[in-house]
Amino acid sequence: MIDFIPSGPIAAALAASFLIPVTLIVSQWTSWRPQLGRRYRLALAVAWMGWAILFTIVGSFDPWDYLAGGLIMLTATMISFNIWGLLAWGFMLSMLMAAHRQQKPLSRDQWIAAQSGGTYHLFSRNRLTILTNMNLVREEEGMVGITPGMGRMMARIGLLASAWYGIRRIP
Amino acid sequence: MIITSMLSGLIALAAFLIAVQILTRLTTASPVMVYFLTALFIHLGAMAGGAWIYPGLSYWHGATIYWFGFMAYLFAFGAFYKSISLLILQQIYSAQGHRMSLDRVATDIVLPCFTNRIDVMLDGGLVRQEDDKYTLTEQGKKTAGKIAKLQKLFGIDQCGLYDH
Repeated sequence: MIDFIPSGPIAAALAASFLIPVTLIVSQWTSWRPQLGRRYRLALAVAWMGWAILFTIVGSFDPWDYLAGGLIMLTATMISFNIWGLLAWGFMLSMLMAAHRQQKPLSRDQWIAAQSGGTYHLFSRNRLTILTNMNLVREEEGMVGITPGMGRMMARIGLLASAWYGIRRIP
Repeated sequence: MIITSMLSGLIALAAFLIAVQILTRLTTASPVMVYFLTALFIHLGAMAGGAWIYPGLSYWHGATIYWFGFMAYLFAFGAFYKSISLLILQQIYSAQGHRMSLDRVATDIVLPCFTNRIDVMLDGGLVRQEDDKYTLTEQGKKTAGKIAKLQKLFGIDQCGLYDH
């Protein structure tokens, strides 16, 4: 037999992880309605604080219980980020929804415009801004280059990861 | 029993990492499906083995390590395999002098991302093409309707572009 009964911090983490979707739903009705990225960070803050409050109440003397609880919270963070990221910023999903909203046959360029609000150049600009803000690339006179430190390191990690997963990277 | 449980979680995670390295190279099935099925199979095997060797083994300590490792693996896969931002980064890195014109980024990297996704939707039966126009099929409309309900539940009224 296996012991399935969770200790206090583990049970607290299981309960607190549900605060992520609950906060994401509730935050849309607040008068101060933040953008999607901020709403997600707010949901994480509420859930992690909820866990801290709950484990303070239920308590445990075993540090391994807190480690296990923390891992549950991190796992919930990754799951929720994947789902939120897909719904809010998913590329193929947003293309599908753009075609759904238009309710009429679209040429490729019309479809791109419906998805990105402009041309593929606008979408390209949006993605490049992310990389620039993270200091991974730098723009100069119509050219974009990898930054020597962080940019090169991330690009190399990306190439290594592609090799590790053994899957050809599709565009 | 807690340390034993955590060790069993680590051993199961190592078995998962080795198994998916082999299985993804042997099959043409969707890699995410291979990951999920392999993870579930190894988890059940580790539970059965743990209960047989160590009766009274704590479930949660080992399981949290195992599923955290699995999610981290899947998370990184999603980021490196599907992220357009990271694709742009890798392509610029591979270009001469690690530099590329803004126009080439849009035309040679981002535009093929659109056309590739259109092809995936055509293959998946979500969209059909007539002449140079694309229309959602009944299956595509049904899928989009379900996603719209989910987006409404979470109050997502725009999607696609990042807010900075």
